[in-house]
Amino acid sequence: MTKRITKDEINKLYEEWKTPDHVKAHCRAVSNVGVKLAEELNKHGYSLDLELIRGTGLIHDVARTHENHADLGYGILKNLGYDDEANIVKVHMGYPKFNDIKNIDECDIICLADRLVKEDKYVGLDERIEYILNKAPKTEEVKQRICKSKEITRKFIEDIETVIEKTIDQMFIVQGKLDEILKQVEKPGRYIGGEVNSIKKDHSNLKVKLAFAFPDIYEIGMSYLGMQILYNAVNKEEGLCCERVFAPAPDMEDLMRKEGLPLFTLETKTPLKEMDIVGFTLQYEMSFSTILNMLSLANIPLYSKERGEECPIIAAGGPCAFNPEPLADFVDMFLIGDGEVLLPKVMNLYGQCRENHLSKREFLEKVCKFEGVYVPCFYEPEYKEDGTIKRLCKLNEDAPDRVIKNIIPDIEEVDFPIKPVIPMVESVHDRAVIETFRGCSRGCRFCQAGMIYRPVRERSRKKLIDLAKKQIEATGNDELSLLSLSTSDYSDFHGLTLELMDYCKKNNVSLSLPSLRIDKFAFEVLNKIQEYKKSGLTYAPEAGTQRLRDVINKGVTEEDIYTSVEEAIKLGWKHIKLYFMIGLPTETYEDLDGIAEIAKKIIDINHEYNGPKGGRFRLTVSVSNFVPKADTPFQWERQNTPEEFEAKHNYLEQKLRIKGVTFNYHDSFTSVCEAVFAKGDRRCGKALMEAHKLGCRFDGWTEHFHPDRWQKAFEISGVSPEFYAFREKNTDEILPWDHIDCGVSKNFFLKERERAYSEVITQDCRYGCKGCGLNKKVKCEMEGIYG
Amino acid sequence: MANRYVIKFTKTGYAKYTSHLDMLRFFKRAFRKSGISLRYSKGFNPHPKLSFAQPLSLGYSSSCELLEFETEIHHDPGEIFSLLLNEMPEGMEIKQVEEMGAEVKSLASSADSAEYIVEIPFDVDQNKLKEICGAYIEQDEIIALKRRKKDKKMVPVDIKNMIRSLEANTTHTSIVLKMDLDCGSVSNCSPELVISSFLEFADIKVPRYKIEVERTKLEFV
Repeated sequence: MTKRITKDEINKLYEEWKTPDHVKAHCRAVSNVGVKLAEELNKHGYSLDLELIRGTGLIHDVARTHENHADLGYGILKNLGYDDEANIVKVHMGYPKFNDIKNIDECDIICLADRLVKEDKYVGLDERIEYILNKAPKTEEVKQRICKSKEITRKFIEDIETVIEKTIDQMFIVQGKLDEILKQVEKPGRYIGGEVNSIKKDHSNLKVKLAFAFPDIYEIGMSYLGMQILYNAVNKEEGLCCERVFAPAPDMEDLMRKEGLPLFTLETKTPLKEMDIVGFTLQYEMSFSTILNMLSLANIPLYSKERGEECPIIAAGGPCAFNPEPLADFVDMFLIGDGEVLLPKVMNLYGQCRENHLSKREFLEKVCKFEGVYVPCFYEPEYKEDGTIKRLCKLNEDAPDRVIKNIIPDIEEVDFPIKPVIPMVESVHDRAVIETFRGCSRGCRFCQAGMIYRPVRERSRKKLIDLAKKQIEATGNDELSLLSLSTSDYSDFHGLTLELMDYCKKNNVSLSLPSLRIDKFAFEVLNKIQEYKKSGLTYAPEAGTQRLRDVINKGVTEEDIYTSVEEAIKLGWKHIKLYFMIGLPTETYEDLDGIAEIAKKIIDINHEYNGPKGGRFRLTVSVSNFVPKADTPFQWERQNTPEEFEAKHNYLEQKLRIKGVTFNYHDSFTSVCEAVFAKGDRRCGKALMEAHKLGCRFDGWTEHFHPDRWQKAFEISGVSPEFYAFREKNTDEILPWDHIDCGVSKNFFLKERERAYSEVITQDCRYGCKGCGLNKKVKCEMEGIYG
Repeated sequence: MANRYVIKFTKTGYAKYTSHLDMLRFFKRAFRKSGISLRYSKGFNPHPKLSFAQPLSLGYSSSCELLEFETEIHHDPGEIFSLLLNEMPEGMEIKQVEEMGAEVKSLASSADSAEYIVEIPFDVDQNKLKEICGAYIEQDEIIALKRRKKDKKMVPVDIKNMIRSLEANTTHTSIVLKMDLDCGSVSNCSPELVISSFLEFADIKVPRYKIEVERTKLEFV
């Protein structure tokens, strides 16, 4: 291969010829535009020399401040032996004789790029020519020549656009339009990137570019630790990059659509369509419509089968990937289970495949053999007449029969972000976070997280203290929070908390302990860390009677609640919050009465301590609607209809008319949609598509949720909530998620369901293995430790 | 020792879309991170002694932002400079750190005038522009519409005496207005009032979002 000019040599020449900064900036822009154009053409069968284009772009105006700079530049490069570069520089000024589209060469690309860039920005042909015309007084003759050259160039552009199947403006327009749009939206800081600890890599040195997509707005997504973990895990690898993208708020979306600005990544403002992989995180069923909306904003076809080789791979992972079927028609591959090791591995494989010029299909054929990767187009369900699944046909012999979730057996040594990206716009949780352990051993029967994240894997106390210190130092946060499914279950919780309290106190950091089990130790801790700020205390009994709490295996007794509430009131807490679920299996109105009784009793306790008026004490009772989830003992259960829920809400509203009690409940129809997608099959994708067409997105936000549109979407698509949500499934039915193995066996779920009906609790498996099946796949460190 | 300092920094590129409150949060954090303890106000709800000389509107860039603050212990300005240098996000750059005497009035209370450069993408002849600009400034009163705080209604105000100077120039593609305006607690004129009244006077229709504003100078009494 011919020797190409290097960056060092270019810099030396810049110095030697005193190239001013603004000219260098122009050169960089021309080089970038040229390289991107060439890359795009190469994707469509050309083999342009990217290094030649990069280098020539950077050097083409080196002698700009001298007379006859093109000839001079030619001489300089020729002398150094860079003939190809020299020849392009020589002609770049007067050049409008582009080659025929079949014979495009590097010279054409540089000359075109130079005609699309003004100063250091891509502006497109029209604006650039206008600029040249106005730059200095021109004779009519010169003006005519410029206009003729413009027409030739336009023809050339059109030829290229036919080849690359998109307009060149589309490829580069983001930077130009973004500035104008940002002046018209609320909180423009959501869309700018550049935050402390964010990572911006030069794309020319990368093998695979990932856009990590969070289907909600910036402030929500930036509080999500999983994103920080994956961002860190991918970006630490050379050759890979992870950039972020969030759903634009409705005002931003409207302007983006109006102006034709495609959805872009925050770091480099690259349109998603130009990334290699776009990976969505599935935290909540009600974000699915936002995913489709984001794809459409990115001008990426929604259905996998409609996306060609030029489109990125669409990936998805997170808790909702355990029942991936409703999204199966839209997503190319799902990553199931722990992601921080799997994701970089998948990306590296993609890079290799691309180097070997393999197609997307060939990549998917290879990647589906990784543990935890599910490629839905290799499977096709067949249905019975009654609508249930007859069987799942495999369309590719090499694809696994069942996809086992990816498990990292020991998280102690897995990389954890100590330099998380710090949001510039205040996010929901603006604090340092350390994940103490993954998984939960309590076995609440309604809880999906408690099943799919098994087994429990802890980080050592030493490691956690170290991570906390490093993160606080690297972020300057003044709040530290522990993250896990049940804070107090950490095996050395007392030791860890006391040590962290000590550290936090010395460093003026406040410590917050979410989902804390309220016992004697908790009060000691809370009393110390909250000092005079006794903001609020939260309990989640989940059900109103002991009977129902036994059914759901929530190991809390009434006595637990009253003792700790009494203690809290004694210590001066003024606000207590209780969480309950309604519509649980076997629930009767007696269980609802139980909720009211608990509330009343707590108000009574308060009267005992704060007198008959009760002081400023407030009790909030929040009731959510039970949504049966895949991979739980309740996965076969029916959900209450909106009418049933509403009757219960009304009943409770009456019962909870108690002075000092505030009663909240969730919208019923939202819960119905949630249930349809939590337990839905592949056909539910149609409803999602219809909802998207009707304009649904941000369904998790009360103000953006449109029940009428969803009703209509269900009707048009024939997806019936009766079938998916309100019907009890038979235990011998093939479930839509049966081919995704979460590690816990179906037998265990069945056994637990029986125990639920018999109102028998199952103890935490730290007191002895309960046979969920996980230890057949991986060692359970916590199994029977209190045994 | 007063332990009072002022930082000069720039805000360019996309960083101009960072709001005033987010800027305050950012600096509080940057100080914590670099181990510089700010002095806190005494009282029921202590807050760090940290304030901008003048708030900058969202969307404006600036080459002269000033932040004053007090620290618990004395630091060498050079030390503060180098500690903060690496904490800055893209588009924000620390230019200078200086110590302030205890007797000096706070920057916010002594701000007097500010200079802005406004770029309006509009093609007009240089001589004609100068003429318009002259006529604009020579008016007996310069009326601009200002949103009243209490009822959000637009009310006319005369800003003539708040404009200390106004210069108009053209580049290849734009009008460039350089304006020196009253700024501070005594009299304050937002560049927005000049921009809107000037465009109306000159009968130039350019949407506000195509106009770029940069603050280039802050002067104090």
